[in-house]
Amino acid sequence: MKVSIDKNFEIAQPVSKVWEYLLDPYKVAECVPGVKLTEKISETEYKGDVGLKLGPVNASFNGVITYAKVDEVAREIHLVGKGVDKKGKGSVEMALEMKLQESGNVTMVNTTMNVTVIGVMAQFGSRLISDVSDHIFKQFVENFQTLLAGKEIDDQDKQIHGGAVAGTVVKSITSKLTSGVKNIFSKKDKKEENENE
Amino acid sequence: MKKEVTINVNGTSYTEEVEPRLLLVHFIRENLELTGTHIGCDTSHCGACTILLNGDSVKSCTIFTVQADGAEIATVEGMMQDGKYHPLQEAFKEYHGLQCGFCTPGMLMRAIDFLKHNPDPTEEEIRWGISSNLCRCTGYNNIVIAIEKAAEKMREVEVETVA
Amino acid sequence: MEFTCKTSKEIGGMGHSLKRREDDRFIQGKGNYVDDVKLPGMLYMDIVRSPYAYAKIKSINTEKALAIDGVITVITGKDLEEHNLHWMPTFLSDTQMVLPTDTVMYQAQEVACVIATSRYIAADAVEAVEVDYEPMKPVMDPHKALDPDAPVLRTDKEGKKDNHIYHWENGDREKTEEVFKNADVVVKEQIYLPRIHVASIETCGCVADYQTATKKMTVYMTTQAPHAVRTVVALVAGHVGLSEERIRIISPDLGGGFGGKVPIYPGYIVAITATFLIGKPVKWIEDRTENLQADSFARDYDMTCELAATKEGKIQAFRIKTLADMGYTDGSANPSKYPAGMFSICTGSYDYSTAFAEVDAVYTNKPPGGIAYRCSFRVTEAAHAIERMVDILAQKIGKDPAELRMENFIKKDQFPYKSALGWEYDSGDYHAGLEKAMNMIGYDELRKEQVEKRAKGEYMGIGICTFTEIVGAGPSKDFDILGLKMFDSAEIRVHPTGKAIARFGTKSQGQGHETTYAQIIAEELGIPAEHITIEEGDTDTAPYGLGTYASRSIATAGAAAAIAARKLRDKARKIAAYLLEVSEEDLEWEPGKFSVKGAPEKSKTIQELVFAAYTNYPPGMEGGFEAVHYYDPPNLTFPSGAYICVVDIDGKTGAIKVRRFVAIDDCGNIINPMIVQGQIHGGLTQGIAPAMYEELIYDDEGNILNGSFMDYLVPTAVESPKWETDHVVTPSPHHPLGAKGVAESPTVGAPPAIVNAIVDALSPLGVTHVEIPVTPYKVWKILKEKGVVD
Repeated sequence: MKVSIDKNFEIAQPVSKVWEYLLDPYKVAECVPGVKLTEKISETEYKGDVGLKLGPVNASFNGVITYAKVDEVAREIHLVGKGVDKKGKGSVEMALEMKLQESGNVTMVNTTMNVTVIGVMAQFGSRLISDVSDHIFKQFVENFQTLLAGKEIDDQDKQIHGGAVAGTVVKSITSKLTSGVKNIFSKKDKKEENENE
Repeated sequence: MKKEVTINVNGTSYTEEVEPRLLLVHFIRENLELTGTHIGCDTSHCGACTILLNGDSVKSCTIFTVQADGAEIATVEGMMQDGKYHPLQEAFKEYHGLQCGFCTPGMLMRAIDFLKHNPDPTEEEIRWGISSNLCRCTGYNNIVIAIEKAAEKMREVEVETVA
Repeated sequence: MEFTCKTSKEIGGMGHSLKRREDDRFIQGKGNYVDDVKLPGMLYMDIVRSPYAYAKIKSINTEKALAIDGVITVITGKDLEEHNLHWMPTFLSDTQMVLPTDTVMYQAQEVACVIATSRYIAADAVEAVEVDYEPMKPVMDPHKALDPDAPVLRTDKEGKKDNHIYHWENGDREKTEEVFKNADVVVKEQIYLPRIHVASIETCGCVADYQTATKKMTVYMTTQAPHAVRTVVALVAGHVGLSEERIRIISPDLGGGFGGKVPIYPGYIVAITATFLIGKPVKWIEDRTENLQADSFARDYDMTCELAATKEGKIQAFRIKTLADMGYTDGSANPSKYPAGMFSICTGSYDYSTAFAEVDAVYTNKPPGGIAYRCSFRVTEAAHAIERMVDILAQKIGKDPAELRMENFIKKDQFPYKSALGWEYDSGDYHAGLEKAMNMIGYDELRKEQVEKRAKGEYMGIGICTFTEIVGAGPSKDFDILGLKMFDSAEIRVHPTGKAIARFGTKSQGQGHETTYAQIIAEELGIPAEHITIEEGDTDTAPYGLGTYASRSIATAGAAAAIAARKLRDKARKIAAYLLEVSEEDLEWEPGKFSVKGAPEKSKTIQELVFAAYTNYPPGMEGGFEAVHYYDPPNLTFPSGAYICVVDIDGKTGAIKVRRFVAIDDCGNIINPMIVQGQIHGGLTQGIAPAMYEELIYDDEGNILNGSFMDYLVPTAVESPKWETDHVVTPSPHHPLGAKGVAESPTVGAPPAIVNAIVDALSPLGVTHVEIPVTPYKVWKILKEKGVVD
């Protein structure tokens, strides 16, 4: 399935600095949660590992990230990331197009992200893909801003945030588990009544 | 890696060593060979695996056996008392509340818990009450009627017992 | 309605609402479903499935999987190829991979099978199998599948140059053209019935057990057609030594079927192969996700429908052109002469003589199938088309849809009626059915209410569907599956003490055969139903038959039971004549005994006569009291129904509330009214399901987007309305009991009634059609488009 996200954001840094950082694949990778570059293939191609959790699915991809277009004059950059799940559960492709514009001391970034997901993640996570993509993108932007500001990215922010929903469910189940032993087939909870007396 | 658990099922206590990841439904069906509890999905939606855990209806496919350590469990096999059907069992048969029988044990377990909290429900309340459990055969009409009728009977019995 | 019974309550023949025999074990949790079977030394199988809809398999690395403690083996297509078991036939004579050797054709296709000592280890090993794929662009749109530049998917078929499977047509194309050209009114609509899934609560699976010492293969299997399976397995695996007498298929209790347990899925064949190779029992139980993603789908018919009529609304001709998406192979289980099933029932319940129907089927990169979803072959599609079109016509000419139907119905005295596409409808009284439904629901008052509601800007709709079904396949002259004629069978064996066991070639999946078949025999022989044990599903003991689907059990095996019982009654008459020393003509039968005409005190009960068949029978007569009959129906049966649905739509949110639903069914004579009513309830819920909730959705990349119960919406008790039912009865003239078959009618009739009601509610906005499933979102979009909501 395909998800398309258009987003514009501002970074309080000069365009030249933003551009410089974007050209550095290691800096970009650091900001994308779950991504780690492992090997440089060529000036424009890099190998990396991508770990992704989507609802019930954990996937781990062997990815290749390519700088498909770098136009310094137009300040336009196209990144393509392709990943195949290590266990053959499917694949992900992401095309990220970014265009920078300077306005004062602020850089406007116009981005379009197209994500194509095939396999288990699409089968189980179709309802989540949009939200998770959006979420990852938001985290990327935050991390990128942190990095540009010369700060360290928190380790936690290098992981995909999530699981808050799952946590609540587990909690409600365990709370049921810890309630006392009850007289199972009785229509009324006699033991509880006794305790209340 | 295995962990010892002691679980009381239908009044009998079982102590077994299980893998931490063993689902409770598999423990019930395979270790204890109580195959009345069924598996109909893998996402906790169908309710075929519903049992009573310490009196509450739960989907046993969504609980690890180790989480039930020390608990008291009831399955459909424990419903008959002194060779007599539970009013719900009786009503399901009487009012044709089952067809293929696959969802039935889960439905019965859910209905027990539901009626415990709501002994005199409306039709609408019954429908919401069993919406955790899927049935593909009956169209639910007769399940709803069976639960209504069983509730009636259970209230009468209650009155008699009190008197 | 009240049912008259010929037998006493003690005998419990036809018309009695006997409580079900099977219920005692089910309510105690003592049913015996396939996953309950546990054999000594049993191994477990799990399946590695493809994430891609279309891809080359570059390599399969099983090393890590095999290294896991407890993993016995991993079976791939290459392994099966060594035994020439990597392909198998479908029931419609297409071919299907058991496991692929080089290419996967749909997402979730079986790629390799792991055999291990436990369920959990097998699942671990599935994760550890590494498959290297080379993905290709899948063909997902059936229309694009026919483009000249579309990739040819079935390259395994020699000389295949496109993705077209078959063209089927019926009727007079030219004459239909002519009528349309001259018609006052022509209405046309594109109607798409999307892919849906039967999703019986029990998934599919088997326990295959090959005993090396006896060379006997026993397979406990979720199958609606155990005998046909045995023959197919013998045909597929005969060359490796599995001949038919050594194969025993046991279909134990089934947790629903609805057509989904007719096909033979690859998992069964691999499990059978595995036990054969390993010599230990192998259990395979698919999970829900696998079930939804890989097992047979239903529907997926894209229909262009046209109806021609006079300006007064007299229907003159019907024309329908259909594109059928079959997935990568034609996995239908239709009678072989009917690739589009009974689709030519699409002329419906109306009297006109001209029609033309055609279906073109194509391959795509979707799972195979084309089975029914609780309906006789393609009848739901047909009924949806005509019942929607009749409403569209009514809307166009401004006539009440009930009135239009009444004016066009085939009349009671026209039966047997030859339909425009060649079927001979056996019996019916459509006017009586609709009239009864209208009275029951208070049609005229509802129309008045609707006028008031509309004046207030509220959306209330009343929808009618008056369908005719075609079930009970079928006469051997035309009906076979893989050459096997579609008769069905009953064998009755009465023990000396007058108690009986009867066995059948069909297989109940919840229909209550153990009760109803006993009632048929009770009706004919007068032996109390409770003294008759019914068995089905074991091919070593039951007589041959093609199984239970397409509402054929009562139409075929039920008839066989009646005739076998009548053979026994004839024998009982001879014994009675001998014992009472009168001629056979002097005897009179009443349920349970023969007595001498005019001397009722001289009589013999059936129990006495059966005992005599073992102890004191006439010289020259064969001893014992057994009969078998293989029933070849002379015609199909044509159940019908008149359904009316009332909906209220929230003009702000698009939420649809089914306020009332009345179903009047004519399934001929009724054997057990309680069971018939239960069947209708269930069928109605499986009618509202595709009408409002269910659809299998695929994207362009070949992903199924709702392949689990998280997203595939099976109705709960909340979505399912309170059904109101009743009957009209026109007995089938050619069936020994006058019965027709039931249970699928409501699934056929409910969706058009619901959609017609929804369209009726929205008709003031100019809406003439909405595709199913009609979701609140779809309705809300319409409301938005029409400016009702912002």
